[in-house]
Amino acid sequence: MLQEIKLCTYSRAAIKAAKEYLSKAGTVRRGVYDLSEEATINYENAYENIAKLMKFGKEEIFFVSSKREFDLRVLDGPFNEIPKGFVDISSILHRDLCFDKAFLSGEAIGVPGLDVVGMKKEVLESMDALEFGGDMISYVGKYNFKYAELPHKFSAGTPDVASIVALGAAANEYSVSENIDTVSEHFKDLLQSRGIDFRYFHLSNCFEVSSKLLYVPRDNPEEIFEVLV
Amino acid sequence: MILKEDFYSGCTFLDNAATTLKPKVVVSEYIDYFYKKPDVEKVRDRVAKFIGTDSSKIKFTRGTTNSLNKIASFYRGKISSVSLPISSHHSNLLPWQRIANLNFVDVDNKGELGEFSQADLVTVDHVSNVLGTINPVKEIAKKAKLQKSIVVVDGAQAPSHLKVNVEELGCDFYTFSSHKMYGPTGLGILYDKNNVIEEDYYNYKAIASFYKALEYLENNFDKVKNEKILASYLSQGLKGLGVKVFGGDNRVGIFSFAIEGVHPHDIATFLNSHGIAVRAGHHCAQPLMKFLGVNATSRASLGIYNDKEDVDKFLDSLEQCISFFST
Repeated sequence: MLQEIKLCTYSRAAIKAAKEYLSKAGTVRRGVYDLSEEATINYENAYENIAKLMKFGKEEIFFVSSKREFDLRVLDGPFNEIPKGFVDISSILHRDLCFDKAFLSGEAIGVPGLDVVGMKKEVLESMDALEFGGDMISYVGKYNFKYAELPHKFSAGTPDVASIVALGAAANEYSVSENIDTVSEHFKDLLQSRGIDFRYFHLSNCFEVSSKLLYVPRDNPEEIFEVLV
Repeated sequence: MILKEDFYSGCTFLDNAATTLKPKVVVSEYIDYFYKKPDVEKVRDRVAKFIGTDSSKIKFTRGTTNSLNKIASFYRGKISSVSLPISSHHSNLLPWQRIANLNFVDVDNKGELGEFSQADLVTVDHVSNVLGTINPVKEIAKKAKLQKSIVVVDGAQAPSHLKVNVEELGCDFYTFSSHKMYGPTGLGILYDKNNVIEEDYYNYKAIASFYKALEYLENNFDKVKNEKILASYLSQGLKGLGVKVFGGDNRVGIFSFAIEGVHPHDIATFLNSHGIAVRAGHHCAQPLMKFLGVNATSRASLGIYNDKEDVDKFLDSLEQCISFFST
């Protein structure tokens, strides 16, 4: 049932952040000029916001482009049960009790096309990187190389800065919102009656109007997004 | 200047080999498709046409690095030797270090490559991201194919500077990144002649807006052709200032340079204070830096929107930089 639901969260903050970055460009980490430095600060802040939402350290997250890759190459166990396109808030909130790894779908908080994996630092330090090249190194010789420190070790090639800063903005918006426990019972029931697991949705911004379920970004109520079921 | 008005600008941007600015039409398309799925096959068709091939051979990836890693993963255990230039970008070196024995091809002082030794797989950068050299990919591929080698081309720096026809080049793989050719970050293109790499990509906003970037680039391709004249002008200017330029004349508008006694980062910082963006560092090519006997270089690289005024401003500021650091 859950896999068949088409659902996407709308984030105005995400769109704004992506637009701002793309309008100015500038690569992260490697430039010695103002545009690049500005991009680097925004990029670093995004890392922090996303990690904070996932309850991991900044050096404990890395980005993947699809659930498939994540399934095949990184994790096993209970996380395979999480359908693509959703953030399993319960697994994140209860990470310390149950899990040492978590998966955040960008689509679930408003940024389709980019997902995040969180794993403990000790595990990431002992793991090989998933991809090689670009700035994920501290030294490169003709026949060998040394890894850069986390989180750069898992960031081969030019990062998808536009999506990452967007996800950072969405994560920040999410973090400052109401906790899942305070969500009104009404919307919880409403979602459950439509087969949506309430844990996967940002309920405080949900409204029911004329039998449609709408998602309303609280900073701009005019930009309404319909939840399709 | 119609072209400059198409971009949000705030400085004289000469770091195009790292990433280009994005036209306003690309940014607005990216936002329009933030939550929509575009006609992916329409984009694939346009990309295929742009590089002279059939859309069935085009794969979308996260970028050039991702493409090269996918190719190396596919050949892991299937090949044992790789021949590649010393000028290779880390992204076209590290993946091979992990799966094969490497034979390096040196560059001469004009930036030209020597002979590739026989290997199971031959890989080459179409355009060097440090030296700007246009490598003779067609000839390299032809020779490699006589020896039945697989041919992989890192095209990251090429399509924004040259007309590329992958079928004419005769390679098995050719890959490049959207963000270095006026498109969004997070998207790569992989030409996969024999259809061996699996596509698992769904960043639709990037795919949709890359269509607009290609359209923009194609509509302004006369500017790309004119770059040769501007590059020649820049080259003469650098020589006139007595600056050491790495590489020769067979190049696109990418110039790595050094000023004796001045650190490359100091040059970039000085130019930044004059509103000019250039790059300083190892440019993800540490083995080449070692080969050239330097730790880093400064690099100025041209884009479609740069003009003589930009080059004059750059040369004028560089002259002041030389004078500043010599006193």
